[in-house]
Amino acid sequence: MPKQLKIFFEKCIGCKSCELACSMTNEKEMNANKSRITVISFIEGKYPLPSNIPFTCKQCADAPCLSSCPVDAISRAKDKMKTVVINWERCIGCGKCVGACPFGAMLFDKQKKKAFKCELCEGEPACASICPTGAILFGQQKLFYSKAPALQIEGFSILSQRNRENLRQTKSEK
Amino acid sequence: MSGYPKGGYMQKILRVDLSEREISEELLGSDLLSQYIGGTGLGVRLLYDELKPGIDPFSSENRLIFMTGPLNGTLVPGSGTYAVISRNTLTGLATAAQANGFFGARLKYAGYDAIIVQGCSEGPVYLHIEDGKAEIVDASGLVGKDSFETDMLLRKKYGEDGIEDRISVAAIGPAGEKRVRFACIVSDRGHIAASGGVGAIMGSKNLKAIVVHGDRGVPIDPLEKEAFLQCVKQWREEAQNTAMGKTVDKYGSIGFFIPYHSRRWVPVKNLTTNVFPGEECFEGEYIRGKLHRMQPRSCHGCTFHHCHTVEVRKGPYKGTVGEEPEYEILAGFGPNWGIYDPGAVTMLNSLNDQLGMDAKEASFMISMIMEGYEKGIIRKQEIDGIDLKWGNVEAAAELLKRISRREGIGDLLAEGVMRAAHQLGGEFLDMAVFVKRGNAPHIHDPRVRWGTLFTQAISNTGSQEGVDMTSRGSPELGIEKPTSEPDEYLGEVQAKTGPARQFAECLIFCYYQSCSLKTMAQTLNCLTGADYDVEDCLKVGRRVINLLRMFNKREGMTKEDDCFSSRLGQPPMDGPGKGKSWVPTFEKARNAYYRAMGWGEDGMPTRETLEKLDLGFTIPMLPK
Repeated sequence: MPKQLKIFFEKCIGCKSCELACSMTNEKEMNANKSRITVISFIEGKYPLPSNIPFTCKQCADAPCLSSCPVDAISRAKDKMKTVVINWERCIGCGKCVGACPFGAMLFDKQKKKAFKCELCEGEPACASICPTGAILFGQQKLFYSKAPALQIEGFSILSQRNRENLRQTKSEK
Repeated sequence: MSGYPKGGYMQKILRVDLSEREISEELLGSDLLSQYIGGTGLGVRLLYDELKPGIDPFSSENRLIFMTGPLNGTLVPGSGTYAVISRNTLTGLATAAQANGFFGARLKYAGYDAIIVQGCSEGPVYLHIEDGKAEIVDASGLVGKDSFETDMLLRKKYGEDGIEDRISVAAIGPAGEKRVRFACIVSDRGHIAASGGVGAIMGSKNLKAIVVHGDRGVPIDPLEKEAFLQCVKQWREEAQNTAMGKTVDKYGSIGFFIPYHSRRWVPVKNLTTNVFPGEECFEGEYIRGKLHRMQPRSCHGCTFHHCHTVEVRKGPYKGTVGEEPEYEILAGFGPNWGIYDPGAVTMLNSLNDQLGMDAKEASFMISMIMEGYEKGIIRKQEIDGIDLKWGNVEAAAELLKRISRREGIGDLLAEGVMRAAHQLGGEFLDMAVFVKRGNAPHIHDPRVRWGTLFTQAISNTGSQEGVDMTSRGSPELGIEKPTSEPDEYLGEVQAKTGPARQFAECLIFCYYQSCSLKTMAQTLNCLTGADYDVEDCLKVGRRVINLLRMFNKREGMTKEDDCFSSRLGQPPMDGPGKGKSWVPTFEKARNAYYRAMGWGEDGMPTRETLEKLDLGFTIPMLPK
């Protein structure tokens, strides 16, 4: 099994240290907008919300970003983590991979006009090492296949859309 | 110093003139930065330079300064803090209030180290700052809205629906709009810049809120990246391993309640007693384990399980959702009002935050009226028919609302404890709890917590709490033994801990994330390219304390203002401090403190002290 990032969102306190540690390691500046990991804190809705959720790349075994790239700039590294990596010299900034990723893990640098993503900090992810509560761990994990979860996300959205439409029709018939 | 600073600062401050509706940017000189660093220190220097002496805190000439420091918005734990500096509405002296959360970090991401607000807008407005651009926007739709609602409306307007993502709002509630003298500024829903009526000053300028967001990063020299990460890791480790850090991680500041009560430090019924029944209901384990359902909502870069949004699970306030109260509020809205149900405190705390008032002043205000009511000094019809018995939660809530709207009796009480006591007269003067020229101290029974009462009395902002050395020494500061008695030694110790605390307020980070001065200096050097050692840090602290003194002297402060109200001088009725009082030895300790600070007998810095600290420009204020 390859080593991957494991995220336990119920342990996340929402301090966003991981975002800064990431940008510091990968971009040499402390700027959450250039982080490969994002923590979203949901603050509205009925209590209790699953409020703080960190999101980052899962290095899918069937990576949609990889197969979507028209210039073969995205490839799988021959390391133990089986990291999906981007070759910035090849990347033409077309953004196809950004659209292809179902999990919002492929980001786009507006200044450099290139795509970027988590590449696991060459085996020592900064986010996991700064996380104070153990919400982000780096350990062995089964390969992640994107297809089923991606369809699930799409399914959720289709179903809620359909239900809302039904409700709207019923209400307007009244 | 050329080429300084190398990193940390955004190198720009924003000036907003609300009268002229003008927005401009300014640079700060590197000398000023290296002498005052940021936070409270730099803010006080700007205030000293810009304010004419003797102006009304509510006048349009007063400044409201929002400051950050070089470490804000970095990986330093708890570095989302900011300071608000202005002229205190309660005392007329200086004030410096701090709030944690994310606002301080995001102000820097928006491109600025500081905001100076001056003038006064004709109609209600808010300020929107994004990516190095600022605009003044009409806020008539937000008038009368509470602080949480204002926060949410602006967050939705500029951020994304229902999520907290890289955007911060600092707002005032109805109390600030009505210029309640102890109104506060509420940022990131529940993080409060409380002291000195900064919310009332914001209200007097007709400024309802400030929204900050942006995608700027905090600059750092790429060559120092590894070294900085090492410093930060050291800082985080030290902070997590202090006794304070361990307690806060486990139970939040609620964890202090039981140890404080065992020493009789918890204020009960306006300091008329020191014991109360049902202490087990205030145990961290009970509140966190049984009473509340919790959702973590930490501040920027925090390492603790500290701040939470909670839902009360049992008791009369079952179902109430609010922020988890801090120790001081738990004590101040609980036993100090004769309320022994922490669920009720959670409700009252949220209400008070939404209305936008300082909990310190609110606590000792309502407790004073409650005591007067119970003793029959003030009658029901005089307080708008509210049955203000000890422990009446609904009555306390009603009174808070009336104060925030300045309605009925609330109009008088909105003036703060000291003014209200003077107005009501008679025995109220003996019941009022305040320090200096009239601001409530931190919510303890400080009569046996000698160091706390002493620091509050000599504090230049009236609110700063000292480093408490009652149970330990500090080799780093050259303090060998704990301060256990109210004597001259305590005054000397304060002269050593005060500058350390003041230096930390120049860096400005969450108090619970404290580490050694050495680590602070190393981190700062690494980021800015400065060369501070521990002694330099203490010098910065001393410089700021002396400048604050001179500011206050300019506003007419004398040695007699370094004092506390008569209730705080009375000996406690029971507990380990029974029969003891600060009064007999206070003056001796105060003189010892003045001497150790290099001040004259009048409690003011001498010419030599000022010159040594590069404060020569204040010397004309000294008597010839």
